[in-house]
Amino acid sequence: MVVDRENVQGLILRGYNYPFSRHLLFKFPDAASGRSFLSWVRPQVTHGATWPEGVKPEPLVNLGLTFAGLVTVALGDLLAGVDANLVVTKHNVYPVRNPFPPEFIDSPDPGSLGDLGAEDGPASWWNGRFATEEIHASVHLYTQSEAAMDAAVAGARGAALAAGVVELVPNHDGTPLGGAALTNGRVHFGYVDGVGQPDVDWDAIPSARGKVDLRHFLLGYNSASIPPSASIPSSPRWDDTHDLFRDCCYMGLRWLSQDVPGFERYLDDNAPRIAPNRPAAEAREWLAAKLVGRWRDGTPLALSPEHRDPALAERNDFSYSADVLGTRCPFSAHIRVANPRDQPLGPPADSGDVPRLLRRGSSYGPEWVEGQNDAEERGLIGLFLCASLDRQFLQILRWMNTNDFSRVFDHEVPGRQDPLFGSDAMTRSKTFRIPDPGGDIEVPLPRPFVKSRGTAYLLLPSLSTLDKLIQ
Amino acid sequence: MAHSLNLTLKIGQDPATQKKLDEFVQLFPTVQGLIERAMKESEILHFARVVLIGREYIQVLTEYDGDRRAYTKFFQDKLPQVFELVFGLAEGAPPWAQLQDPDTFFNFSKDKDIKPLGQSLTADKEDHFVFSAYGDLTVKEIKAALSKAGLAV
Repeated sequence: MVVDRENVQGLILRGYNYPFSRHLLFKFPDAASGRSFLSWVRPQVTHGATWPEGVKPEPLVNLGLTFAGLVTVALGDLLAGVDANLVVTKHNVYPVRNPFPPEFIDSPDPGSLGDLGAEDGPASWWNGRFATEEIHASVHLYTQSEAAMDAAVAGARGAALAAGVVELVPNHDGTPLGGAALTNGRVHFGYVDGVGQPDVDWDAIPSARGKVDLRHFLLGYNSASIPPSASIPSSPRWDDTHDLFRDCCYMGLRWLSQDVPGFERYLDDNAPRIAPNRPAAEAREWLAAKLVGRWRDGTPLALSPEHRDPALAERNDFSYSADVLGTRCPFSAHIRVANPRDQPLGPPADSGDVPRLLRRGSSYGPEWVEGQNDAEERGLIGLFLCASLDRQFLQILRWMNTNDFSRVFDHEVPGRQDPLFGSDAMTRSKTFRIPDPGGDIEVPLPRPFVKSRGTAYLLLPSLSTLDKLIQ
Repeated sequence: MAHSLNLTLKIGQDPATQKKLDEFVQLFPTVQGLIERAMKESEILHFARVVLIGREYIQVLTEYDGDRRAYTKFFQDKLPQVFELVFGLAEGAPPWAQLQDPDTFFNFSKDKDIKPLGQSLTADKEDHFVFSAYGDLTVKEIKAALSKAGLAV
């Protein structure tokens, strides 16, 4: 076994599927308060060792730290202890260097995210209640009951108060981010969630055939001693910091609000026109499927382009090699952009691997009731895990915002995008193309049904890294 | 919309680096064909040139489409020998063994990219002021339009 599972935060190794989740954000006024709070969190952090069969512990607790949080607590000293040339500043002259990647050191760049509109830029993030730069830590809580969650949140808030740590609360009503899972394993917009996660080989490097290499997610396993063709770059590099950050993982935390009534109205307005030969309800589901690449029950279009099939709903072993015209799954459909699978990448994207992400997000807000035209706040707290925020998380966002990563787009109208998650500010095309044997269908781009409410980049430290930060 | 790269490296003034500079200048006409082929293959380079400012600075100036990470990785993979020569002239650059790591290469080149003056003409404020007579058309789109008009390049 390659990975010591007890050293890895549990959220990395598995999705918990607990019904209740909360994501608390904190600021450390100074090193002492930060360390005091981390000391309280440490014994509660859920790691990756399997719990006894049938016993589901709670609460499950995980912790993230921003670069600013790491610096506040101890990072400079830790780095100096490894190599006097490792520093926390930027713009250094070699051999003095900061071993962390710039996208993690800096605040999230709205240009890279596509958050360039007036309503989803950084000025509007977190309801304007604090700046992203103030975030030092995140604590993620998962429980089986609402009562247990109330107790867990109270515990974390009490510990923060005792340590002198400030909670950053983005909601006007004082509640932290998070909520309750929806029924039937679905997310807002009605799609089944959790399908299509990478099958990571945590037990071997390189990974077994057909599985995803763990170095796409865990730091500390790449070095100059591994041949370039086999190494998966991430920072800090093992050659710089050795085991200091082994088993850590980066996390893009993205608060996204979703306009569900607006999305359903879009289906109502457009489905009859583009699928006139289908019954109304079926036409809506067909359009919803074309936008995402799976029917809302999870059935992949690549396997069943004409109807849902419960037997196929959880299938993740499909390819696009038989769908070279996109008549099964449109080229710009969400899952085909987020994971092109065997679809060849074009230059310059073909100089790298298809980026993968572990998705550990959770829904918040009340479940939408059909026919209801409400203005309820609902959406997704997206947690996107990877070993390189730029090569993986931001790369996929770039592909969503501009479909230019494959030759299949060479003859497209300029500016094609992921129809649900592409940024309105970054497109020149106002339509989504559905290739069809009977003639291509151009549908107005649904926009904007997803709005960015805040983004932060955090490191999920391993337990050993956390111990070193606290001591 | 095309982005600009204004990679600007201070050349080491020690005798060994200055000798390497002379060798690089002499060698350049023989490697420019290699560079041109890689640039054509990328289909994202609008324009590119390498300039010296006296014997003190070397610049790689380009206008390119798409994201910086993919652009950087592509050329790191296609022209490693050229970049080894260029970065070998730079004062304060990490050793080439370290620069072969994609993240180190990317971070160093990004650190040495000088941003133009002015404000971006696009929604992406990181672009600063870069004028294009072709609006935000990409290399692929321009070539496709030229081909359609019988003006293939």
